[in-house]
Amino acid sequence: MPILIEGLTYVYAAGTPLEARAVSDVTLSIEDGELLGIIGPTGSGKTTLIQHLNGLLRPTQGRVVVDGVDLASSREALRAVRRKVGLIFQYPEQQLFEETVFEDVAFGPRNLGLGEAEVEARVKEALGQVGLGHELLKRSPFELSGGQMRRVAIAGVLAMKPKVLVLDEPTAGLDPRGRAEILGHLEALHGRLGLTVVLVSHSMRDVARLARRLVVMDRGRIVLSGTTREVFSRAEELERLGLKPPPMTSLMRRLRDRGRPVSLGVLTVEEARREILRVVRGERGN
Amino acid sequence: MIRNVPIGQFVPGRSIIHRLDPRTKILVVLVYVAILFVANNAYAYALLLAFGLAGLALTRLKPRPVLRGLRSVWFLVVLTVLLNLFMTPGPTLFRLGPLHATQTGAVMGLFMGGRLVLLILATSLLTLTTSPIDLTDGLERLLQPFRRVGVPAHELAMMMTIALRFIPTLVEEADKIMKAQMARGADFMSGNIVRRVRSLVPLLVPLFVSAFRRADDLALAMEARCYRGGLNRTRMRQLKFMPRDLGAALASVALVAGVVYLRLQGPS
Repeated sequence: MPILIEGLTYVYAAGTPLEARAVSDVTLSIEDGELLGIIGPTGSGKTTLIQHLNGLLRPTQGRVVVDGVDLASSREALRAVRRKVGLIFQYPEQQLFEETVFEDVAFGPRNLGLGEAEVEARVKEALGQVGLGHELLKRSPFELSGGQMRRVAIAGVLAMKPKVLVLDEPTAGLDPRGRAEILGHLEALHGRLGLTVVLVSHSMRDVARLARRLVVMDRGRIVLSGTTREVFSRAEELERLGLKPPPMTSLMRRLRDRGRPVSLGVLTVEEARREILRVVRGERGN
Repeated sequence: MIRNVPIGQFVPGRSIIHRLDPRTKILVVLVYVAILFVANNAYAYALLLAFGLAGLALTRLKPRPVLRGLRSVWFLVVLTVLLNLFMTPGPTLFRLGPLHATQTGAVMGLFMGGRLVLLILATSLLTLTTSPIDLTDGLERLLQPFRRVGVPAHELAMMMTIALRFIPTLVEEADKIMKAQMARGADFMSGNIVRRVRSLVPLLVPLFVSAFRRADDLALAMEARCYRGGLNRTRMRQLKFMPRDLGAALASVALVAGVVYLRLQGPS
């Protein structure tokens, strides 16, 4: 189910002295089953933009069409889209409220009006998808570690079985291990279940690892877009926005500055290793 | 949705009323409100109205924010006038079905309504021209003398300041949590009372959890900087009385004298 955003503009507190234009004339289409990264400095409108994807915010101008249905058309359209598009906010563990992990993850499916057997099946499945075992079911979510809490919160959205998963800074504030776990689960969800994933982040390393296509936002507008490699190869523009390219891309650029003919479209350590070996062998060959 | 909420009604400005010491403004308003209840004839009300309007003119505020303050209580004003009009015994003015309005009632109603309007006007002039921080600073200083009898002036002011500081933060957070739960299919808008109250649980629990966490962090941060209440604390922004404060004080004394004189001498 493709998502189409056309000429979207959103203004906070319109008509007051505090009026602020958060998103300006953004047009973007998200294809079925793709893994899209949205990056940009703080205050660039990323969070505001994604809140339109399931109708939490209504466009000041422009429209959002999910699966051929304009979200502004009816309340039913809105309700339907909230099932299809799962939105996970930044620090989602802050929205946990139930007494047990089970109850909290069950909140979404129950709101869908599902039977108790189905709810239970979904809760267990969702927890499994984020690598949490059934021994946590009866625990209070407030006793868990930060990384576990976040995964419970993500499971709460997964249990609604959305077709599209939108995540706002899913790794913010986690240690390297928690970060790797979350990213690993996301990769698996995308790969195995074919979920469309929209990943909002200012961690270039995270998006470099996962996203195939990138959209860069600045001051409410899309300023760059293309495949992840294309976008990261435009290092000067990114740095002007205060965004650092992933470490390996920076390394390649420095090697290039010292006269080594390496390619700049390198994102991960493994790719960097291969590229450096290729160049070194080439030099020896001469 | 509900970001950037302005707290209170404060409208920043550079007028003489804005620059008055907050203590002066609080005291003048207190005196004004007290003297409102001394006034008992049209001349005294006219004097009070003139004083209020003069204050309003000096603030150089646009009429809109001032009227907004009055709008929230117009119902109360109308109700007061009507109740007085119909419920006071006296010579009949006119009849409306079983109700009959009296002349005495009309006069009483107008006075009472006027009193309410002037009361709101005076207090909103204070809150419109004084930032919440100045207001709490002023209150703290004014309550200082009562510490002897156990009024925790500094603590009260600090609590007010912190509460004010966190209103926008909590509003923003409530907004965010609400959206997050809506994304999980929560419905805050429909159903009967019981359902609606229950639907607030997923909003209130996380909000309280985070408020407690914030309070904890703040307490720690304050202690880390050796905060120990108002004891021997000096302040960066000192309140100082200026000649204009003296002017305001003299004007209020004149007002009090005028109203008292009119009560003793004037027609009742």
